[in-house]
Amino acid sequence: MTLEEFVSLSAALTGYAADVLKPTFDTQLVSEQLYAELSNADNKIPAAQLDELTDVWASIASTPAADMENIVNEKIMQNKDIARLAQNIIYMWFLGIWYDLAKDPSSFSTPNNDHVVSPIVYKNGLVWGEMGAHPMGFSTGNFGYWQIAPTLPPIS
Amino acid sequence: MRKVNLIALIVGLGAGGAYISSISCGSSPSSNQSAVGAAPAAAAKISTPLSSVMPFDADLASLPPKPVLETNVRRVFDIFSWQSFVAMCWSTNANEVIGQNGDNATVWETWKKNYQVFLDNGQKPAPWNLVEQSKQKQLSQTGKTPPDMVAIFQPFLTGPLIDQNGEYTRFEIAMDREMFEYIDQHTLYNIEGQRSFKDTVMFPEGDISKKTLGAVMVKGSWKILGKNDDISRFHKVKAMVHIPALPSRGIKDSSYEVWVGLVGLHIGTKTNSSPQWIWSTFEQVDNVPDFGKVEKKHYNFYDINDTTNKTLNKAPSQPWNPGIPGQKPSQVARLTPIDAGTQALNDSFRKLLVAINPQSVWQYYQLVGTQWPVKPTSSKTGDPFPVYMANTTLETYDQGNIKNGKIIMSPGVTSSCIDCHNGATTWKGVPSDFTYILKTAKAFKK
Repeated sequence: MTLEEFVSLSAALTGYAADVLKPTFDTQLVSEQLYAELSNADNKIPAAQLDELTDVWASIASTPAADMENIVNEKIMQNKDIARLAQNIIYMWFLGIWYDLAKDPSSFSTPNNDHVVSPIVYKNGLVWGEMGAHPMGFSTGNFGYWQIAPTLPPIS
Repeated sequence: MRKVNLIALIVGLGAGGAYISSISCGSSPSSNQSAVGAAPAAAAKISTPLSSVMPFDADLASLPPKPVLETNVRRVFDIFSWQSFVAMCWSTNANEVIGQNGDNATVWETWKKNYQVFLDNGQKPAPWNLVEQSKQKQLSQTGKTPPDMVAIFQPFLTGPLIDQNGEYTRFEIAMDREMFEYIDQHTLYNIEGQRSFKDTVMFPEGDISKKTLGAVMVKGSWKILGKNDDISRFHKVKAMVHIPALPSRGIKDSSYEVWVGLVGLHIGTKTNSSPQWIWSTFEQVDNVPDFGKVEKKHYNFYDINDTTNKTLNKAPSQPWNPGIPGQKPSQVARLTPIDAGTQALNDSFRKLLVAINPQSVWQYYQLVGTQWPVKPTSSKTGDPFPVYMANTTLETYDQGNIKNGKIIMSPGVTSSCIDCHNGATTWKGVPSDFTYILKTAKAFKK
């Protein structure tokens, strides 16, 4: 999977436009860091899963926008072979965290290989904007911003 | 906002290109620049494309249709930084260009110092007067921030920077006429004035189309020149340095006169393109090595014989007072190397400075980086780039952490000019337009 394919897949999975995930003037380089996680040996991603996700995405990438949500749901999220990996990509974008694929998602077993991808990725997690909040210890608001109710983005 | 008269001395630095053009003396200034306060009014005898003319703003119009952030956009801002540095360090002697006689008294050192604006009694400061302002330098600050702000910054590990001779680095803050007059006209020079100020603090911005200069604030760091210092490599002045009292160690309040050399210079400029200001930072080239790359035999703030790195980039232990004898020098390395494009621009400017005079002290200064808001309206901080930026003499201990030989940088912790200054407020507790200077104001006393 190339970086461009990863970004377009991520757009389909998260609902954010590709140029939001990877802007022209990209100061944060989040997409590059998340993409690198797919080839991080410590994450032990089965090659067959990644190949299948790549192939499935290539087969549906040109789907009209109006049909994309349904086709992604059908071909990726309902496909038990690759759904977990796709979920992990969504988690990374929203939470900045890589969740251990080998871990039973329904348990709290430890140790595991869950980890924050990087401080920059964590800071840029999509969840903060969705909540009208900011990560712990970092805000772009002015002094006193906490007096003002957060503005939530419209739910589409 | 004050409009300035254009002068006949020239500018020759084309912003945005991979070149430095050489327009000879006698041409008109380019559209993005204007003359600074005490710059010479007459053309110098030496021909140079360098100019005493201060840029109004970064020349974004010079960018190609598809600009690239890391290369040509960065270069436009870096050129703005160098143009600003050259203009501000230009000679105050009307018959000299920068470095013509090796070293020179500079324009920015005639600007108002923070202690000349925020008086101890909160009274109205004296009007802008270049002659009065250029009296002997007084360096009493031993931390990046003035004494009454030190407590605020200690959590960020701000501490003294001690050179290889065991001497504390001294700091000073100055501002240009635009910034001073805004403070003066709005009575922001004392606490009461700030508390009664009803508008949003909004300093004047440099604007190419209007040919106006913006507010500029400067933070300089100086080392006391002494043993093993090659004084031919420093811009130097004689200054009165201060040692505050520390009764527990028997140290009395005192001052003494000494030669100091410039080791760091921060320039913050408010402009139309960058309402979060453009942040330029320069250093003397011998300050520190890059982390893990010791290449010189002597550094101002790094001992090449100390290979343990146990105290690398760590603030000295308390108490902090320059009068305590035998203090261990700071061991400092640069954690983010200077960008290759910025380094190439440094080389270009160095050649121009050497062409004026091979003994010019200004050839020994380098642009470490320029930070600007890439998307000024996207948030209060405007998506700064580069994400982190530090001057090793001013953000010495905030450059990032080293863990198991690996450098770790964290948003909100590692130095970023815009992210940090976004938190600055007035005494009223409202944003102060990216400057902490206003917080140094004192209460009014009759």
